[in-house]
Amino acid sequence: MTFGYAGRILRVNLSTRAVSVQPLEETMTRKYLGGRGFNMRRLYDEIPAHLDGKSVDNKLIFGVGPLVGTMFPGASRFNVSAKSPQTGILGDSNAGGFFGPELKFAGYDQLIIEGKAEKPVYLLIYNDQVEIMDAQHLWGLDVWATQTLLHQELKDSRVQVAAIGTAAENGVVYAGIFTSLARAAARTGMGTVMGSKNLKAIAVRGTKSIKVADPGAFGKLINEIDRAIYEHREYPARALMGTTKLVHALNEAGCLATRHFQTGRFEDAEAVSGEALAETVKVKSKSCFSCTIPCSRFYEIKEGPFAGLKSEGPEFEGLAGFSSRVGVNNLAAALKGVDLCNRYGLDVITTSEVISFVMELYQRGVISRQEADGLDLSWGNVDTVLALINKINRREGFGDILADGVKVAAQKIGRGSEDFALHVKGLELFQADPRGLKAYALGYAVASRGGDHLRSEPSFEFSEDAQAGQKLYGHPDAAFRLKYHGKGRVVKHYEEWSALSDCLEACKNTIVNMEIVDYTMAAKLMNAVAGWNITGDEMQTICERVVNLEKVFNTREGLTRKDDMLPKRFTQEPLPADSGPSAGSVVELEPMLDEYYQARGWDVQNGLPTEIKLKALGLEEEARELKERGLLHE
Amino acid sequence: MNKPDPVRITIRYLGVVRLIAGRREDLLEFPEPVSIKEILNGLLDILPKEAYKEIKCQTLMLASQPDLPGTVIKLPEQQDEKITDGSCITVVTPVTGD
Repeated sequence: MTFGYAGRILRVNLSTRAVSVQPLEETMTRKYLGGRGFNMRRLYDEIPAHLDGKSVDNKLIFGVGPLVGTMFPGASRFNVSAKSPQTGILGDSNAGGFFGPELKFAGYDQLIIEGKAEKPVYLLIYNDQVEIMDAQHLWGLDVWATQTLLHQELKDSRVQVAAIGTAAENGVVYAGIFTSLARAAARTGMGTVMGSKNLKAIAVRGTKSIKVADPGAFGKLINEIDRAIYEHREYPARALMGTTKLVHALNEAGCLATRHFQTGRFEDAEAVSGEALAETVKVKSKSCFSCTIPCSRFYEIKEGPFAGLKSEGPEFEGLAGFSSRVGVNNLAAALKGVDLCNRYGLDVITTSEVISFVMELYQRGVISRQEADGLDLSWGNVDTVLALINKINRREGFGDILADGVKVAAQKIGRGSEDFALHVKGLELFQADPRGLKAYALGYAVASRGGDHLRSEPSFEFSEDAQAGQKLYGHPDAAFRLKYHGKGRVVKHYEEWSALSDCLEACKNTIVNMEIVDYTMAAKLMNAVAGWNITGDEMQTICERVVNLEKVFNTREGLTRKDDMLPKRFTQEPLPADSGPSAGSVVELEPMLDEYYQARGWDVQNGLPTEIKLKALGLEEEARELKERGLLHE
Repeated sequence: MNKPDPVRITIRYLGVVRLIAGRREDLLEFPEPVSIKEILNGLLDILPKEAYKEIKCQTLMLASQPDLPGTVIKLPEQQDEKITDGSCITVVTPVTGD
């Protein structure tokens, strides 16, 4: 009997239509824990180096964790991983909602999709019954229509659906996989991979139970954790506004992405704030499966040109992406932008970057209206923003240039536009200006999937607790967002903590940002759930192993220190005077990189893992492979 | 002796305090220069208890005028600092991760 884990891996080959179930290896659980950890192991073992992300040999891997489906608050998430067609390196995305638990209830810890179907199909999983179903009638439908139709056909509204929209069908490289309508595994083009396999959706229904080794001990821990969440100073803000609180919070700090990061303060932040949203269009709060914090919400627009729009969300990324980043000061319009991305199945961060990128090019006279299909690319033009989202979805006209991400768009446009393309390793950056957040800046530069804030989320730098900075990270400056010392160690710590969250498949907001679960608590949870006898230090080692395995994957793809960089805007252009507390800031990246590599035990010159470090983490085979490729140093 | 000029301070509420209190802003008038501590104590009479108790978990920003960027107020170090006429104190939920 397995505790915590379902104990099974489901493998589906869409080319041969073969369906097989394999037992979950015990070594996998003890060395990689679950979710993201499982996925990274499979990715490394089964995806050859330099594989094209749209190749039929790419694999799409869904992973859930040992707490998913239990009463642990927010243990509702899943990771989906593949070789990224957008970045050409590690592809991985994470989403909440209800799909992850349902996959676990169906009896699977991991689902691996291989090959390519001849014609559009969807996968139907009902416990042990797994069928590849015709989906030609679904192809061409958006995410919402797909889910609605599947519920009707299957006559079961409790089926959880992970679907792609038309963006993935059309090969937009930053298409995501969406569940529960608005829960997005959006980054790095995992939807694009799914679309390249002619796989429209995965519908899963599970009725099995999840066994816990020591229910009494687990229950006590849950009570303790729930109490800690309710009593946390952040609970009211997260329950009332979720991540939308960040619009005003970052704006006041002078690091809200405004008009493509040309400044850090948006003069119309009030109109598009989480507060305005809560006061005017919010209907009620909503939470993910088993979560104590109802940080999401349903909203409805009742008047104006977008009257009738109703949905779940948005998160901060979409809200700021289609407001401050593109200069739009209309809340309903911003919500419409997010809604379109949800329906088409697009990554809001990348979509908002490519649009704000061309708006800046237009502002600077680099591109004309004519080459943008006649669109007026002035800041704040709502019609243009929405038109571009539509064009990107269809890969139509100017939208086709933008549909491969900002790095490729800049290459196609040329004329010096590469200097304004804001990405790291081909992945576009989120809505907070790194010049005002030095640890986040470092995190962007080194994140294993590219310019990403969720690989680390080093929120300690907001604490202003100099004593804690000294004690935990060796320097008081570690606790201040505009300072540098200690940030390498902060990022290392938060990368591994975020990996813990992703391996357990519980929410980073509670585990990391609210610091509810540290390694000691995580060990107690796993001992109660899985019947282990593991320590906090061993849990930390698992997380460090996952991060290092991802580094090995990317090293095999040819990445070195030179790729751990930031766009020139952030390292050379100070935030302007109107950015308040962050005015004048740039990012001095190199010293932070040095400190980070040292903290990691990696080679400071080339940023690569060392043989000593990999062997210490039990990655001897990986070390040998890198050595054979001439990529490893002592 | 001349009486001191009255001091008008805008208190701007963002985040949790705004949503709990149902207020966006107050304009307070004091007969003479007033300290940050006195201003915050004065909010006890204006805000509902549930909103007031959240203030200690929020970030406070001080600007010379409303709509201008502010600087973070450090408490208790700045609690006795006198505030000039026309200033704005913003109460905002702190940045703590996405």
